[in-house]
Amino acid sequence: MFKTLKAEFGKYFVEFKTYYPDHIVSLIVTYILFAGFFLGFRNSGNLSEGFYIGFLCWYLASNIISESSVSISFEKQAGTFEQLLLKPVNIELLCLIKTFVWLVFSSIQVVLLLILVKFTIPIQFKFDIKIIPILLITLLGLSGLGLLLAALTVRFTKTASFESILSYFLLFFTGTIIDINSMPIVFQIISKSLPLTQGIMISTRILENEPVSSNQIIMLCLNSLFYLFLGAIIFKIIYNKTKSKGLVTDY
Amino acid sequence: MKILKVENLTKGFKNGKKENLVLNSINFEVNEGEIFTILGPNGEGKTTLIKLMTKLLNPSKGNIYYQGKNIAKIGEKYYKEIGCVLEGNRNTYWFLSAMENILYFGRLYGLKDDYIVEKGTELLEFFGLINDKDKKVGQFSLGMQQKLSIIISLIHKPRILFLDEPTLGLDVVSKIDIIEMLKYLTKTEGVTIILTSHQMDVIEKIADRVMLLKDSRIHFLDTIDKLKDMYSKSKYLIKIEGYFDEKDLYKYLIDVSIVNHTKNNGFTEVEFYNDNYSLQQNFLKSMLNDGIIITEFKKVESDLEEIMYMFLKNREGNEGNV
Repeated sequence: MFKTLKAEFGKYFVEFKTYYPDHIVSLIVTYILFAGFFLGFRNSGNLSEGFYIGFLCWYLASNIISESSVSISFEKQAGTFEQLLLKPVNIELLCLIKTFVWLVFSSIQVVLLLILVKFTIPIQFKFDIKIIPILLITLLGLSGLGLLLAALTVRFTKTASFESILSYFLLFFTGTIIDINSMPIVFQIISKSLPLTQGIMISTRILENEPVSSNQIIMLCLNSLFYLFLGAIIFKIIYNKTKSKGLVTDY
Repeated sequence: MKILKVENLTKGFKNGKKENLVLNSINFEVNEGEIFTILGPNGEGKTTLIKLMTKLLNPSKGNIYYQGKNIAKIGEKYYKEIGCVLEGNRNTYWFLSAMENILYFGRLYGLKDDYIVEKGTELLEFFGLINDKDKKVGQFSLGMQQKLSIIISLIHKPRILFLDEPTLGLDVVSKIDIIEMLKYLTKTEGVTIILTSHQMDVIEKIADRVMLLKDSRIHFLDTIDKLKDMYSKSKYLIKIEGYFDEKDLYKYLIDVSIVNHTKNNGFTEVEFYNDNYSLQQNFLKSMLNDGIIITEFKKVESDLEEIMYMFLKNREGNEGNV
């Protein structure tokens, strides 16, 4: 696994260097989005203490979910996907490793974004080291959803629209920018079952110095593991069916 | 020693309620260290067979055994034993250099960096790409890309190398280079090579055994010499003075199948298939009686392309008669 991780880091680093303008553009777009939401909500008086952490959680989460599928789509287009399948590495594990590598690079981008925000927008950041493990547990669960989307990409290839729906759902229905309790009851139920909602809620409580019970953390862990295993199982089923149909490498 | 055994392998693809059978209960074995070639017209299941043997596809029925073990039960470890280059030039990352590609894929095999660099350098030298090791693959010619793909598939010392149309679209020099290198690899490293190709000249130079797929089944499986023996017995060349059209010659060449007819430098040359000695005697006599000057009459060896053509034509004919 370590060698695979090293392989992916090496490749991503070269890719990052080669296509660095894309990453700069992505950083600027995220900055504009963040600044827009922040200024808009501050002026309307609806800005909570944990707004920025919610936004960053969503930013990482929506990309964590789409990373595997974007990567598979790219590999299928480039024609290298079959070569990955021909290597002695479990494809689900490879997807998770790719997602982890992306997370590391994205975290660096997030730090850069925060530095940019700090110097350009009058915002007070609260930070507590305890939110990092909460964030990692949350993102682990979300990578299960990522595997689900990756499986759909293996089968159907063009799944960008699914990713957009899921991303905006996460933005508006997980407490990132809108209070969950003000939503219709159906969305409240769906929203509360997602690891991201729970993760943002716990992180916000930590930042606001409110107590977090061990039950809440256990629930988050169980929820994340549930989504991870669900994603892995669904991936396996769809992947095997697609293999039988001979559509794995279709683009 | 048998390295791979294919048993009752069937693969079909569903199209609505109908199933299109690409391979139907095929059986064969591959010997260790041989170059085994899969031949057949387009759409006859050559690539499908390669994908089944490399587990990129699941069979509808049947099993494939690697050294006696069912490959469906070996898991990902099977990929440590095989290497594969699929058709097309997209087996590598274009934004990485040759050595970066080798390092990336080598690491996926779980190999150490030192080993990958050492073996990679050795293979780059062998394939004549050492001076391009730091060049991005996007700048490579088709032949160079194909050589790099083969290098990557060999980095972990596989026992079997699967190649799907390895020389398709390459210039003559690259094609010969790859053929010679593959032959050398089987001799020195004992790698078993299973390849598909449309190019008869390639197959003729490289293959130990040939398997012909048609209509979802194996129609021939043996050495090239056997294939040639079966179908090249009856090809003859007759050279006559003067120019004669094909229709003029049919008067004499009754019951023969003309495969080539040329008029050049005052002579007409005709190649035909016929093994009937008395018939040949008759038409030679008739020609001489009519004052036609025959300057040459000899049996000629067919090339593989002609043999394949005859083979497939005969099959179609036989099937039509059934």
